Amino acid sequence: MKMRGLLASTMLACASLLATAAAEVSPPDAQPGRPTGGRIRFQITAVEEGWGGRRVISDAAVEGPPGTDFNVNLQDGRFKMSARFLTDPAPGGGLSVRAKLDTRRLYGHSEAGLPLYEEDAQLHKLSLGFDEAVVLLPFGGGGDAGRLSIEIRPERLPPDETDAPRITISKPSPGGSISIEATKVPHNFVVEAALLEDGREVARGSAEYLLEEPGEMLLRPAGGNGADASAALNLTVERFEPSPGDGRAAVRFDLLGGDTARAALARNWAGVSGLGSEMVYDLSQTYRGAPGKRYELRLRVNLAKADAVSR
Amino acid sequence: MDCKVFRERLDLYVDGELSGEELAGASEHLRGCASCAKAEAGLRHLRSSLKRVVNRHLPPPALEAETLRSIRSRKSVRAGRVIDEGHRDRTPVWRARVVMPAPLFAVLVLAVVALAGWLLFARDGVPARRTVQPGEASAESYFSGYYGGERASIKVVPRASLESSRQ
Repeated sequence: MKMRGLLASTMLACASLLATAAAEVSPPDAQPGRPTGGRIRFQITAVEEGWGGRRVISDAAVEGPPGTDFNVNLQDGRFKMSARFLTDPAPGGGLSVRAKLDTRRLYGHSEAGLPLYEEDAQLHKLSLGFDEAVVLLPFGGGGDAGRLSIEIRPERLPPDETDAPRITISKPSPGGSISIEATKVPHNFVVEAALLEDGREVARGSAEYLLEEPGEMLLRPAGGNGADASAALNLTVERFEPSPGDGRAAVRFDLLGGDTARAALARNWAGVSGLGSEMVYDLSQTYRGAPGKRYELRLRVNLAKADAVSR
Repeated sequence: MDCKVFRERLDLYVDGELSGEELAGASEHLRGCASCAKAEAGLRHLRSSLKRVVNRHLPPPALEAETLRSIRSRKSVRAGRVIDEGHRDRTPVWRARVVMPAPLFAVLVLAVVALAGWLLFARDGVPARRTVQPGEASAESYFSGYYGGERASIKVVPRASLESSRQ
């Protein structure tokens, strides 16, 4: 319950923190390990193709350092799409793009007068070169009015004096039906987990996580080489909230038994803490260890090497 | 004048249409012929009786005026006016026939078609609602033309293919 309250307050603060994310990001540097030196611009153009041919209805650009993320949101009274693009430099010189498409359409109303929606959630992992473009079709091939597409073209830019993302809107969308957001936050994290029995560590594990990407970590008995895992942690670093110090990370996880049955010990637990700080969860009611013992799960989130260097 | 000739001219004689010589001949024959005198008296009696009957059923004095007014009223309705002076036509407005010159009718049809086209399409052929400018109208149903579309999709394409479609 305590963690839920903490999560709720965190979520409320999330929007404002994201808005100020740009200001909180460290200034540019020329340290080794930085994937690329310059900035990247994403030209985002909404195009209608219908009977009258091709027509640009909005045009904007998001630019920022490598790893800049952006959202393209479409909304009217019956339709809503949030297209989130998390970008990372790819080893080959291009970009690795995770595109999350969440769509909701009003289907109609029930007999009780309640709205009925069609919802869709998609995750796409794209490899994008600078001689390529992403074409997002919010309505697939189109509708009665033709085809609406969002074209996203990446482009390399020379380094700038600021690392903050910047949005330039050269042609606003009609009626404000399309909006764009951009953030720059670390993407790579190291999560350490420890299982404690009466305050003594009995199992631990560590794994690297990509922001908003779920991953599994095995907690193995301390000192037991090759022993079976005591528990498995399916965890996602959901958000990173920058702050003047080091920022805070929000996680969500399921804790499963370490055997092959993978019985659930905790479902959909969550928490938020500053980097390097511990999140402590009481497992006495859920973990099947020795009777009468008190069990705890402790999590600690830190930036991974690449993001730690860039900050 | 004998009986045959007199009977041929009997109607003219009774109507007073015979000229002097024929009138004298007919009068002389009538004085000497009882049969023709009886026929002449019968015809005069028939005529006077008819005149009496007809005069007894004269049309109302206003009939002529009413008839003429009704005729003028129908002409007015056909010309597009419903009400004549002091006389309301019983034909409902929605059933009234409207007479219009063919060129005027054609111009009206073209105007309606042009207005419908303007409402449906913007100048460049995209539905008019697409031309709504920020702040001018709500985005309440901006994507309504696409509601029937398919599931959202995403793809990576060569940039050159987009550049070519721009032209």
